[in-house]
Amino acid sequence: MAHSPTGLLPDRRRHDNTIYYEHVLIVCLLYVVLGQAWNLVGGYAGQWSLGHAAFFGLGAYTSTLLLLRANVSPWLGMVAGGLVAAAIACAIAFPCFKLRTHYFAMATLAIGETVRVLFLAFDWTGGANGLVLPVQRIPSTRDMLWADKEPYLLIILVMAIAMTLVIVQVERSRLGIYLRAINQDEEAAARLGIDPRRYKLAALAGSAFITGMTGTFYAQYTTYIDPFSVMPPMLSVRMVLVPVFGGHGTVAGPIIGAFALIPLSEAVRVFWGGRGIGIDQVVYGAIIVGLTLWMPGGVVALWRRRRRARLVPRVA
Amino acid sequence: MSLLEVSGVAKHFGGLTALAGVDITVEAGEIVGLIGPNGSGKTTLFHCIAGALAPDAGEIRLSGQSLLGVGPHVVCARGVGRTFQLVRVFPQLSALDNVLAGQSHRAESVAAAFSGASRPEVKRRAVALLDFMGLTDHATTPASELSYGQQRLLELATVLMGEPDLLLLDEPTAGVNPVLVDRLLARLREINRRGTTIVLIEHNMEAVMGLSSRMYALAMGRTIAEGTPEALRSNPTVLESYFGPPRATGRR
Repeated sequence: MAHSPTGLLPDRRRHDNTIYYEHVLIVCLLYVVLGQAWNLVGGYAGQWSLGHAAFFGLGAYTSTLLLLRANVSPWLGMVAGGLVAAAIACAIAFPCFKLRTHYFAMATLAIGETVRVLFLAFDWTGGANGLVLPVQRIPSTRDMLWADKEPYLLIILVMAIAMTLVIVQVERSRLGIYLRAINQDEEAAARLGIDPRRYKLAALAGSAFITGMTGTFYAQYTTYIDPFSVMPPMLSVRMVLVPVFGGHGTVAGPIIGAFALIPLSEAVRVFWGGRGIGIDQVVYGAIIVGLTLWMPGGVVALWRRRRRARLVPRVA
Repeated sequence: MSLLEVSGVAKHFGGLTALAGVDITVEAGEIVGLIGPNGSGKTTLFHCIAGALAPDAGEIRLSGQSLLGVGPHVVCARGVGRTFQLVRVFPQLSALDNVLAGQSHRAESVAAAFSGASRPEVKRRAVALLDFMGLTDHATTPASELSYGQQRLLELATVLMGEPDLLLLDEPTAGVNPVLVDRLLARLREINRRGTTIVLIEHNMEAVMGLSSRMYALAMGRTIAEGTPEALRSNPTVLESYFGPPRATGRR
């Protein structure tokens, strides 16, 4: 893991590279969790939320405030963060589920931004100054704070595996059929006795719960949060981009998306990020547009089309 | 007590009156045809019965229990199954998964749905229904790849999966080739023989008159006639609603 490209660099440099690679791996796994969580409500239930950063931020703020104000361990705070995010999701669902497709996406985008602006304005959230976690306690397992990256890597790996297993179960269970049915034709699903609101609400609440928990993890990992870092609109967009790029509504999609897009974004940042004019973002965007045009439906859909084309002989 | 009682049901869309007080009664075990020219309110009536639209006035009762004020999934749970005028299956789900989506959802929690796949006996029933519709070979085919007629049969299978007491069919033979129409009509008779009451909207007069024991004619949102297929065939009010008033020359 600690190999430098030449294998001849001093140990110190090797160590730094390891830390960087571990960081990239942690971010990839973070996006696997977020991508799978979005996949549940967006990919399976077909509710394209563009406001998921709000749930992420709510999780981060809930656990951090509980730790700073009431000295509640982030292990508990993580669950509380998930619950707060899920509760807000239920409140949002009430008016938003009346809206369909683009209108639902627009409403969630607006709600995400509203939550961010509110957190900027509130005093008790630290406003734009944000909140610093008690870094003087490092290392502390009770406070989920470490100097090394390995414990974080382990936590996010467990979360990524657990969330992927949840999606595998959705895929295998009746719930998967019902959510897909709602996604493809809500009225037709309702006339078969499937209550669309109930299932969409469950998918959104579950998705928000996991996203909130991931927000807590992120706060503990970076040890500093503010509305710009945990609730930016770009975060909501990435949470959609990862599963859509890989193939939303599939188990593998978010995994492929995270492990393709995060290293890609890192690579363009390494190569073009130093110019200070944002050319890396332009390149990143252009590559994504190109790949999306080449494979609508994501990597998984492309693979399925190829396999199908091989299986079905062409009739002249 | 009748299975379905619709009394004085009215529905307006802005200035447009779709239903102006419709009364129909359906007894258990019947096949009732619903005819009328385009725009006479037949489909709107189905929407109202199935809970997709809330009527502005009137009452709809199933076995004496009001169906007003509840959503389509509740109406389904009470025993009403319906098909749409334009076939509506889940295009990306396999034929089998389409039918499985139609299994009974009474008292099924989200957690229960998440906990596992369909029970073996439910799956067997779904396979049997596909077989009944002659779709066994297409169980794993995505619904979008079936022909329109096959999709009609599939939609019927998904609705039957919920074991409805009352089946509302909106133009079941529209767009279906003649061979499949025969299969479809045979299946409908069989379904009825097994105890399901059917109300169908149909423009294929031969089909609807051959199938129905009793018929209602609608025009301009009102019930204008009721009776046996033979009686309605020669009812001047019904003919007039389709073809306009008789000309002075006496020629039609």
